[in-house]
Amino acid sequence: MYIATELVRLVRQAMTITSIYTLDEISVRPEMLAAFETSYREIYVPLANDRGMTLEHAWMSPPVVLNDAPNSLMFIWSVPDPPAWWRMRYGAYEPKVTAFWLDTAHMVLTRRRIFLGPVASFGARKDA
Amino acid sequence: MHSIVRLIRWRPGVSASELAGFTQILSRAGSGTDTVGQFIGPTLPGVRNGGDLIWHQVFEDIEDAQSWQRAGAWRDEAEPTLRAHAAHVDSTGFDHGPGGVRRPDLQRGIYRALLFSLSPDATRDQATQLEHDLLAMPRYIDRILNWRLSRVTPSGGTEGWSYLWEQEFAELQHLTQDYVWHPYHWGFVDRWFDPEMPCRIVRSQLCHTFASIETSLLAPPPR
Repeated sequence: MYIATELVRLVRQAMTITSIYTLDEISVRPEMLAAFETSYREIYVPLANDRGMTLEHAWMSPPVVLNDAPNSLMFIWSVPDPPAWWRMRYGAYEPKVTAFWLDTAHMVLTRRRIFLGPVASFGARKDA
Repeated sequence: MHSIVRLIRWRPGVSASELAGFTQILSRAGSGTDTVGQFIGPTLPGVRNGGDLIWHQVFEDIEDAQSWQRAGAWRDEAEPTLRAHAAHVDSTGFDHGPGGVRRPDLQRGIYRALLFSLSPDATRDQATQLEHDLLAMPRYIDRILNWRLSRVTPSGGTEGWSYLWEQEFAELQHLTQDYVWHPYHWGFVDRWFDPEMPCRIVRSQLCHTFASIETSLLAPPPR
């Protein structure tokens, strides 16, 4: 009986686990766009790969380099499931990761990171 | 009500029988008339900076806690034992903060505590929002049966701790999977803790600890 219940629980769990996406939206000083991209690709990306993160997209808005206004860079990362998310998360304590954000802070005007995933319905809200 | 929670890591090489003896000394010291109740239990595998033993004491108020700490049971028995045999102790004293109890009659469950401190540049508004987000977790994660978030007053150990976030679960998996893997946790609340997040206000050093309990530590004690 216990094994059957556990099996049902594991199947339900597997059905609900999907990839988790990370969106980094970074507004970069116009004159530092190339330098930031180099740092991001040469330093941050390998560190992120070591933490199990896969770079799905590297987008820019607008998709043309502006001379006198900042562009926004958008990096979409994925990890396969919540345990992988926590592996990524604990990897954030790696001093090289902290150093990357500190070393590039002077290039960045604003930055935000959010986590995304699919939901069955946008109206499915669980609340008290 | 007021509590003192200590996370104790023993020195290496202490035998099992010595450990049992130390635990008995602490238990005896904590069972005086000043205390409303206490729990002493070994931590479970998987804790992070969580110590080998959780010692959780409940007092009527901070005056009783201070009175107990001035008395012989602490001064002559427990404190010398810890000084001689503990490699590290993280400790907190706190008036009980806001929380909730869904299962006051919890039997053979899991107690979990997270000790954390705020960065010095955290604003009052940010701290209020963090408190709000943590206290909302049980609304989304129904595996959290009982919970309490307390601002720590005196503390010792690795950090000057700011908060103790306590929860109880029916079984270990509800903590290690249902709680940890819930999207409200990693997708929302964790932004305050994540060193990569610009809005992060919690310092990196945390104590994440948990132990098996016979009865709830967070439900109000019987009168």
